[in-house]
Amino acid sequence: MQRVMRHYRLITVLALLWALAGCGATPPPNLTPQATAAFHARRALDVLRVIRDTAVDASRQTPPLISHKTAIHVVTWHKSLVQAIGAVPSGVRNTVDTALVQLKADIPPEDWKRIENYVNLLRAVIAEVT
Amino acid sequence: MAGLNLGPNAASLLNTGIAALPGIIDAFRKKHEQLNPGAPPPTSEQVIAALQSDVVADALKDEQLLAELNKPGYA
Repeated sequence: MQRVMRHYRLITVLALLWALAGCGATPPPNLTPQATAAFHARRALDVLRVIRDTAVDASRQTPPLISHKTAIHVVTWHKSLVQAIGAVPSGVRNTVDTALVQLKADIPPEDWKRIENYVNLLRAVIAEVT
Repeated sequence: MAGLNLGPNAASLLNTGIAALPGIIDAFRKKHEQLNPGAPPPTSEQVIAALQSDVVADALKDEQLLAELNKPGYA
């Protein structure tokens, strides 16, 4: 099972990285600073959505790969984080960094490992925010 | 996936993951299609409006998922 999960995660992460690389990480030069922040925020939301959906889908497997409690926690975490990013897009980097520290502290380590690849992808995306 | 001796759950999980990939890639492409070479760049107003639209859509989906996950007998 672990071997299958490794394949599954590797293929998914590679596809996401490829897709993100092809989408252009650099905002168009015509954007205002506010719109540039919104551009970066949207890219973070794209990956956050993947983290949420991965947690929910993993909790639906038989046997569950992530606990039901963790899935609820991740969705609640996602909901709060999206609202915070929507309110202050220019603070996406600090907001996401803080939220990730909190999430790691709140869920069991074995569940964290299941979503860690996607978390790393999110970190890579927000690292591009200038 | 010839060569892999998978149980039914593992095979299903792997197939689900692979089947989902085109959808994920499509979503990324559609979301950023305005940034493709040759296409006019989005205006600031469009980018800001798109963010707000994403925030609203995500909030609705989160509510829907929480309602589903909190249903009695779900776990």
